[in-house]
Amino acid sequence: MSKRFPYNTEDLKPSRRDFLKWGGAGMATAMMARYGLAPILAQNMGEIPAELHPGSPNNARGWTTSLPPIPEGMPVDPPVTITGSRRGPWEFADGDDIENSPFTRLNAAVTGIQWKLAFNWTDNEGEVLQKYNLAIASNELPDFMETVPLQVYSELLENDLLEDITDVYEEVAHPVWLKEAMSFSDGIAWRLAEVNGRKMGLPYIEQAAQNDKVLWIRQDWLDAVGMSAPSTIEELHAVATAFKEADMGQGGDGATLGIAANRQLNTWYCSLDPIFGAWGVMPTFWTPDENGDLQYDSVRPEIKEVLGTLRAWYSEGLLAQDFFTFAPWQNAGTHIGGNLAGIMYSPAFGAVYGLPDSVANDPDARWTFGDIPTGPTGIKKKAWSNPVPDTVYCFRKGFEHVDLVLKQVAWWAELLQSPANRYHGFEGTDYFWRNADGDLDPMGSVLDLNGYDSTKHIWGPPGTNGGSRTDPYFETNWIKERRNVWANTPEDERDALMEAFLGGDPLSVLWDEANVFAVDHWEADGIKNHFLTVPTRTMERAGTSLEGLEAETFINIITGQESLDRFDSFAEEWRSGGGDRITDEVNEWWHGQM
Amino acid sequence: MTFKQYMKRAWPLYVMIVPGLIFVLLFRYYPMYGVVIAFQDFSPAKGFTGSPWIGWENFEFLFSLPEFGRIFSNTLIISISKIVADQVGAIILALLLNEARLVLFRRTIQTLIYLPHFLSWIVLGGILLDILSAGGILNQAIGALGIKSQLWLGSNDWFRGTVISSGFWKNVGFSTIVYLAALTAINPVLHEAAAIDGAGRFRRIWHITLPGIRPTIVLLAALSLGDVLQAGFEQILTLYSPAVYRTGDIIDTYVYRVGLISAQYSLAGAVGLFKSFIGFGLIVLSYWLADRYAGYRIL
Repeated sequence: MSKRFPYNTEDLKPSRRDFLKWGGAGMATAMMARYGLAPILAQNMGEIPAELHPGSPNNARGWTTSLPPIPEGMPVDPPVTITGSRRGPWEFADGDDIENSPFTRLNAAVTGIQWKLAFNWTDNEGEVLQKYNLAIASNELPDFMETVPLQVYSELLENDLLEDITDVYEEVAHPVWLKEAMSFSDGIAWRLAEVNGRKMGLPYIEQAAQNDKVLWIRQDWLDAVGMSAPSTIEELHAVATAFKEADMGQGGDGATLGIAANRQLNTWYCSLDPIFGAWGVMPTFWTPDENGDLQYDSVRPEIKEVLGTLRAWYSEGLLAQDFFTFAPWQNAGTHIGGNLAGIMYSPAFGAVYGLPDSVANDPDARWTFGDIPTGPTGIKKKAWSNPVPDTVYCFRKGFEHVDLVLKQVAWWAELLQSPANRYHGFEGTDYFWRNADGDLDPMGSVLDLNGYDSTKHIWGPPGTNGGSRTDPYFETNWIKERRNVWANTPEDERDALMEAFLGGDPLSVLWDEANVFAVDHWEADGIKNHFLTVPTRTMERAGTSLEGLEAETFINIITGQESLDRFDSFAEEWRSGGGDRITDEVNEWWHGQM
Repeated sequence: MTFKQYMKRAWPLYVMIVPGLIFVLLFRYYPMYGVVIAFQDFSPAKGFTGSPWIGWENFEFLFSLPEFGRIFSNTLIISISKIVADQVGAIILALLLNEARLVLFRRTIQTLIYLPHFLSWIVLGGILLDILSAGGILNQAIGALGIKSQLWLGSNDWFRGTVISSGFWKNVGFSTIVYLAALTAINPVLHEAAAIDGAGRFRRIWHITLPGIRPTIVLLAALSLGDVLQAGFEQILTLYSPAVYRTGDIIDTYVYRVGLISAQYSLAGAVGLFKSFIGFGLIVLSYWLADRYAGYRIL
């Protein structure tokens, strides 16, 4: 597409008077403006210089990234500088840095926004709090604050330091890439970012169903014992028992386990949450009861039935004797990688966490995944993984350019999240050509020490170090595009980007399949934790005590150190030890929400 | 020598002390005013001056915790056992190494026992979790000897023992080195004279070596008493699980879990102040005891 330049060439020559008028440095700027060399000032040009484009159209096996239309009124003139905080680390080539990278150059050309780093942190536990607290104490908050932790967020709210973006959002937020994308699951994205119906920041959104469990099981073991994948908890028990009795594992005699578990019953890997879900309850979650009040699931009577079941399984040796000392990451190494267990409830990424070790230690290992089994009354539920962590993007009170940031966010969201745009970052920053044949290494460039993350240098959302987005289905849409569109491209016509993602090893193909599966079951099978705000007063005071009591009691019941009836006295202790007060406080918040 | 004459000669020494003095005042004493947050409902936005004062509320909360008795006694038991094991073990090891004739042997052992000191608990914890698991190397080894396997990390009977012995393994090398250094300061003439008088190895250790390092023993014991409420936060955090809260949960790990629910700067400040207060009292006490019974004084 060629666009006619609106001036005739004669007009473009700077006159002698121009020199006199503007002087040296000013002249250079003015010339660049007139010739369209400085994209920031290239008002209404509608075209971004080719050297700023992502993608690799000039490589023989490269691809073209299409850019969304430039938002209305952009790029702004004069350009606007916005300060922001960022989570590191990062690494750039050729003198680039976080303020001047392929991203910021393209971004400045599109939006006119120039980002300036206020401060950054790399340790996401202690350092982030320290940096934000310092900024609050010294009254030097950046205009835009990345991933503000919950404690800091409530601090900022209490002291009225945040800009209310509700009205600007209504007016300028993109109908598809912001408003619609962030409306999933009854607007759960806004539970933290919205306070009393006012938007006090932008939500941080991760991938849908990223910790939702599927049942991972050894197909070769199933074949060996002549059984098929379990569809009920009863069948699961039978299969686990058969695995154990046939001693399918690699450890010493009798070392095979029925199912891998660890000290957290409801956790991110080798979790038991779908077993609790089979009875319709979820420990540590707050769920609505029949009156519309929130109840604490850990003290519901159904929990006792699940604990009774697990207690029986433990006594039969289906759980590791010391499972309750294990952390999830240890399951991956010892139980799964060491081929002691052939069944686990883990997320889709379980395909590439634990399983690679399993296959390395036993080349015959054939893992497969399936839906979670149903309980005695036909219930099939699991912990719904919330893609909105306890963190918010905030704007400093009095910041005047919220509208510009929202427009930028929408433009990048469309670029990244619409698979048809084929965005895979910038050559030399996010990927590099591996050899003369033009093979692409999709897992990051040589400069990127932290692996593939073609969005982490973006001031976002979307992007940022940690990969937030506006659309939780972003990853899954990409997988579908790859499998449905790219895979149908004849092999000799595929470009390097297609090839890099299509020719994956069996485990990463399994990961993709499990991802799509988990996302398809996300809304229907998930039990949601409805308490999503700062801890209540009594939680702060008594929460640690009650959590400890719960964890200790559940483990002791499962391991048989205490009787099953201990559950009843536990529930009583929980209520009288502050639980009743917490329930009141939680419901006060809950009903205030509606 | 008058004061004036003395100062004329000694002033460069005083000048040399000044940077150190400034450092201590600036970085050790000046930040102490931060303890005020222990008596406030501190919020970083309001700062030290703006946060509301709440008196003893944080301390009352700490002492009225249903688990306070448990975490306080766990802390004391684990930490005192560690101090005793560490000091006694280090003295014995130092004496043994001191008697070893072969220098190469002595140096090798010294380096090997010192090595774990340089590894962080996160790394060591990962190794220990594996070694000490139900099917781990230790249980396999004792199983081969016909001994019943134990849940070293998962049973309330064993957890403290595991913490104390793994702490011993990590730290004893460092303490040993201090004692070895003290041993070299003993005049060899004493040993030679005693040998001529017919004293054997054990008599010489008892009558010469041990009295020779007595000030060091007293000093190290006094200093470690100041840490009596530090039972090893990182170590226990990596090794414990809810099943052993009864015997393994200490003040620091408990407060850490409180902080996971919401950042409570003031409570953490109160706990720190409480620990320092107890530690300070114990240091004063042990210093007095050292002066009284070992004739040891700093000034």
